[in-house]
Amino acid sequence: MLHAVLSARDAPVGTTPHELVWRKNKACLYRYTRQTPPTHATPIFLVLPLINRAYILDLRPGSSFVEHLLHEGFDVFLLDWGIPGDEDRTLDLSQLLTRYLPRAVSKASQAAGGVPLTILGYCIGGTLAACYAALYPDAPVQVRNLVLFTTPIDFADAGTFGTMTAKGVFPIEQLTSVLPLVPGQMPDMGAKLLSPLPTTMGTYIRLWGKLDDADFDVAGWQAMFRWVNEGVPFASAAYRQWITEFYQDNKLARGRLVIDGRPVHLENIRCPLLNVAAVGDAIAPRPTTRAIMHLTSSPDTEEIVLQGGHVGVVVGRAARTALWPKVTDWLASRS
Amino acid sequence: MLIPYVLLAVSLQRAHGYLIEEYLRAAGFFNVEMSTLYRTLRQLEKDGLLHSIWEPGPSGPARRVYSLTDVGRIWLDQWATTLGMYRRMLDQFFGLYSGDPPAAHLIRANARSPESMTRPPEKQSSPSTSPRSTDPFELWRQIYETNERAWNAVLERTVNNPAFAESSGKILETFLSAQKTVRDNMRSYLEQINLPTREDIARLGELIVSLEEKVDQLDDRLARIERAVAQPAGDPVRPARPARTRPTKPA
Repeated sequence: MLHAVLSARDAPVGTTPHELVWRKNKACLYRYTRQTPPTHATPIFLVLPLINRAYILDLRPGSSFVEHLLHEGFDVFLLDWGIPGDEDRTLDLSQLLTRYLPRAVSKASQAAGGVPLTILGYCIGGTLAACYAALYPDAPVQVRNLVLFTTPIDFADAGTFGTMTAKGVFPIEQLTSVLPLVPGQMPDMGAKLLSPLPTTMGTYIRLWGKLDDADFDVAGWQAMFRWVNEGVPFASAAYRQWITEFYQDNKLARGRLVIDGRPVHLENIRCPLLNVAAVGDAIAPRPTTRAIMHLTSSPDTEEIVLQGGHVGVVVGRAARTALWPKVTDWLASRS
Repeated sequence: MLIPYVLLAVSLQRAHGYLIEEYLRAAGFFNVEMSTLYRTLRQLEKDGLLHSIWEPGPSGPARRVYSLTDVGRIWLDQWATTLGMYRRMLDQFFGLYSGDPPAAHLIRANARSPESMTRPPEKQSSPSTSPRSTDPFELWRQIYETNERAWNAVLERTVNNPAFAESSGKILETFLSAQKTVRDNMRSYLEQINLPTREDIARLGELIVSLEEKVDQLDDRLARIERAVAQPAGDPVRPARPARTRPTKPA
């Protein structure tokens, strides 16, 4: 068991061939290599969370959402935010939404021949994707479809994480003025506190119980273990904005969010919307993920609600049959 | 063992402290102090396993009457399961100690490899095929897995409590104050020995990132100009040329 845990840090991950299309600061836009021309006209642009490694959607062969998208005939781009350094302490979400995301979307569209894109965001990446679609409804690159995976939008009832980061309780100003980067372990610890035992002791105990099982996928466990333990720090300005404007003031759902002087109105989203949520999601509880369904103006909305947690429903073993084909079927008829 | 007995007593009927104490005495707890019992009851209520309300006594002052919460019910069930496992473990030990073959209920209990318990005795001694039935870690794992839900439910309640959030916030504030002192001291020290601080390096990095942004802005502008130039004449979406420079025909 010790070997399985210690060698997990070197587990091969994110191995689907890809090429760099564009980079800015730490952010990199990749395009996955297709062996055959895409069979769908609309490429998929993946927006990843800020606090996790981007390879979660391309974990390992046979367990990769990206691989599934390629297999189903899509052209796939992925925006990896990278790992911020001290020099990014003033990099906030507004800058990501005005300086990074629009350019990355534009470069992806350009690389694909100037076509509209499907934007698919996961967790905070989904919140950013929704903000982007609301901010730029008439951008030169049209958002053909918006897909959100376990994405918090309405923070009025944000569960335990909301309680822990409440005004007057969580020293957000002190935290972000002292530390240029909020260490990756802190959001990770926060996530683990939401379900304390299964995410800590349970991980090892279950591993021990399964090691003798011939069907147990040790390499898969190692890849996931590596991902869970490779947290990415949060640039302090981005974290402050995330906690104060989203969690504490709930500005996005209330229509009060202003990015670079422009109001973010979710009703500006008119493209087809697919919202994927998890019943047992402790990080983005159902009240936070449900709201988007009535906040946009889209006449074509669909929601897939699955049993499971924040990560499991998206990349767990069951996702290969319960989620991925549904997403690609939904997209195929709209791409 | 006081806690499972208290939960058991309250599960049978809503009860005040004196009634619970009587139940405990009947169960063999002769030396439980009332102060210990009330402290335990308060703690169980704080943990969300019990709920209490004040009710008037039949001929005296009001009394606090306790009832079991849903979490308390789960907790009690898990206690029963855990104790059942301990009982099987003890039965197994004494059975093996006295030379008896493994009992049938032990075969059922070992769900991972039930066939292993029915193997001929000579095969059981082989290390490669020996089951973990006598492995204390395996039993402990089973106990953990059985109880995880209940223990986690209590921990979640604790974490979700505003008081927990407040105390975590205070701990974080203390850590940040210490961290600030360390950083300030390090900065002063590095300045004294004329070395760049971490902030100095970060500022350099910021300048480079800003420069990159300026290049990107120029790139955007160039792209707009290229698009405008490439736009066929007369295209209604043609941008960038000020209206006043266009010759307009009088109506």
